[in-house]
Amino acid sequence: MPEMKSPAALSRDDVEEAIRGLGAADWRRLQKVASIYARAHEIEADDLLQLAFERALNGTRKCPPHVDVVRFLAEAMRSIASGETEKHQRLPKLVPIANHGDAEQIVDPPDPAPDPESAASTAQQVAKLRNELLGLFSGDDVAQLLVEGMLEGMKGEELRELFEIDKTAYESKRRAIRRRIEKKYPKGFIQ
Amino acid sequence: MSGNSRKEQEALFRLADILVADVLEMSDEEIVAEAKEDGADAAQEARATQALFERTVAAQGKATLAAAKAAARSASRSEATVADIDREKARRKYDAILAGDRSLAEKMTLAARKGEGTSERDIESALEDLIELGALDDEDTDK
Repeated sequence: MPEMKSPAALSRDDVEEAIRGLGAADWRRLQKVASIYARAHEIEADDLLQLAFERALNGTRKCPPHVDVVRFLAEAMRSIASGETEKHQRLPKLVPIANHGDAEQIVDPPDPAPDPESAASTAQQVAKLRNELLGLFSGDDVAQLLVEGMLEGMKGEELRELFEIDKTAYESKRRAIRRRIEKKYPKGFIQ
Repeated sequence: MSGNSRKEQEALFRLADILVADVLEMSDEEIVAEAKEDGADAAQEARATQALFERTVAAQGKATLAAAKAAARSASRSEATVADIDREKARRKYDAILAGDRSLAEKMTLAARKGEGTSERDIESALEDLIELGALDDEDTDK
């Protein structure tokens, strides 16, 4: 008998049903994820979550059948937030341009490569935020080094090995780090 | 974004990913306990997020319905063939259009002079074009 192939992605109805069937803890989980990926000045948590719902329902993002729908929506929110970052960097700017002796405001079309001035300003803001984040953990060397390692892209196992802490201790520190960051940046810390 | 600011931005996302992993790995009990700790009403928050989802579903349903209606209208217009036409009525309208369009009337007269008089088939073809252009509406057809 030929092997039955499972569909590559859940149908719209399946996605809708899976989301509708989430329990109270999952709804809260989604909200927390949205708050972490939200971008303080560009996209609020609720908007991010709504966009993720929209893309899941309209099929812009496909949910593989073996993937948990909460994880799938979390990944969609990350993708949207990171896309928003790119978009923000390329917004057209109004600049005064001399025209027949008069300066008037015209739209300067977006350049795929942002001007050095705004890139430098973004870099400064992000560097400042990085210092602020590390400053949140002054007095707790392990947490501070962990945050630094996380920013550098180190994974859990690497971090545990580096700081010679076991899984439980790592998870407990990670939670404490998240809680402190959440309280300091309830609307998201990503610039 | 410059290479440096992009790298910094990616660093923030890497940190966010680790924090999100913690949220995803928490048990339901831990999630509820944390909500209590924050003085939040987990059930009320769940209802609010559920409501956000239902609003998204409803909005998308409306958008899909509007798109389906537009597609159906367009299909029904293109499906209205000459066979559906009340020939008498349509011919009167065709003549009226011709009367109102001097250059078209001249072309038709020219064709007639060349011995290419307007055949029934020509008229049917013109009527089909008029239906497609929306110049003949449902009132002109049998539908």
